[in-house]
Amino acid sequence: MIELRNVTKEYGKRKALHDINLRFETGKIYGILGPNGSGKSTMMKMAAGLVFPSKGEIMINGRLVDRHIARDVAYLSSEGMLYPSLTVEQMIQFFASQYEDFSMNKAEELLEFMSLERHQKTAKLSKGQQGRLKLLLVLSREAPVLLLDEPFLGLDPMVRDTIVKGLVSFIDFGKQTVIITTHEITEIEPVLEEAIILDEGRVHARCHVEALREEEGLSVLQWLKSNY
Amino acid sequence: MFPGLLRKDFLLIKNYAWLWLILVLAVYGCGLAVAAYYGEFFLVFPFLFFIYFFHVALLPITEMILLKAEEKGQYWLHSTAGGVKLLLSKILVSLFLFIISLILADVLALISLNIALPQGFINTPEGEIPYKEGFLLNIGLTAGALYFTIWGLFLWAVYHSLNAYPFIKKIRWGVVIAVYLFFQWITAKLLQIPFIQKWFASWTVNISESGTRAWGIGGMHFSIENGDIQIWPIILSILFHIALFLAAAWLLNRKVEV
Repeated sequence: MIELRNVTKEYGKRKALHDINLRFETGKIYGILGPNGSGKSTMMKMAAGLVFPSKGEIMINGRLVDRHIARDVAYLSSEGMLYPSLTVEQMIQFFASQYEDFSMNKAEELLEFMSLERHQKTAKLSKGQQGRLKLLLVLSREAPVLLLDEPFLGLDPMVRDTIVKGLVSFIDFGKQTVIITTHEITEIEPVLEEAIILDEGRVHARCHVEALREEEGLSVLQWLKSNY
Repeated sequence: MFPGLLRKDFLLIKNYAWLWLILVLAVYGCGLAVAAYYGEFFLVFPFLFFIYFFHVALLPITEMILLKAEEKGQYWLHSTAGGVKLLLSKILVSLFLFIISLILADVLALISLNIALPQGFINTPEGEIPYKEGFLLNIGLTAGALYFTIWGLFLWAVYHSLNAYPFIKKIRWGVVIAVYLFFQWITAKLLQIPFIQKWFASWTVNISESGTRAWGIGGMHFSIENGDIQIWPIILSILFHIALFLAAAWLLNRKVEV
């Protein structure tokens, strides 16, 4: 379980997050939605131990988040995750050497699923291939928490579709807690259980996706639009 | 985990390493060409000295290339390794390239001396290859390079720690320079205290016969008086730079944000 308690993040006078209280239950898939600058990435970086709260605290499975939380959290970053001079295989080996929960079997399966060439340098990969490689590296970990920050950023619909299929095929449903930030709601909607809208660093709205569909007959996109 | 970090850092620097080693050979080749053109073999030695003394910059430059590779997104901090291991890996890989390069320079120097000495192009005491001086040169270059590397690491960590404070973001370089100058000033003041001078002079080891010589970079200062070298400043300097490295690791763990 992930819990944010009264979390505020200030950059000088600007507040990226403002007194956030959220709880993410184990084994569920959450979508964090919101415009640019709403605090989505800041929240993800905080949960990954890369940014520290100015106030409040974040707990993951009962542990206060710090740099060592990487043991329990697999984080897909929107930038800087890949080393351009390394090949796909070297990136996989590097991740395998760093995280005890990294499964080489899963990585091999994902390599085939994502149609990636193991000897290709990451600098030579297209943006779509880089996105798929990042997902491969994160999904190969059997960590209790997966944080995917903008996994669809700059990717075409075909690649986005592959990534969603990858999520469905390789996530351990019920065991892994997954949080995804994205603007591409349509693709991700079928896998989401809950959606949260962040706006100007505050929680603007929250919904259960299935209940939203059944009780109000709304898609997440329609719900999002109705909240603005 | 640590071998994985070393392997990754080595892969990041591998191409630069080959480029540098080829450049060393190219500079030496230029020296040979100049020497051949003028028919004076001793002209190769200024090129060799240039190669040697650039090593003081080689180690910190290598380290900075490795740190630069991590700056975009700072994803390396999302790691099961702490700051000490992350930074130690960078230093060890940089040191590996430094040592390989220094050995190459030593081999080139030995080849040159073996050609120059019998033909009388240069003079050394008793016409022998100056192994002891060469060894001391290697030690001195390594110490100087490590000095700049550890400081570079610490100041890099200070610079990125200040990222969290937008109001000083534009003057971060100024703060970094001020931190360095402050340490140098403190060190210089401490060295002027008679008690410290007396303490430093209390433990010396004789390594040569006579004369007074002094070496120093910034606040780090060593001297040999009448062939005696002071041991306390060396020990304190080593301890200080270990502390500086640990401070950089602490900043990386606790203060550097993405």
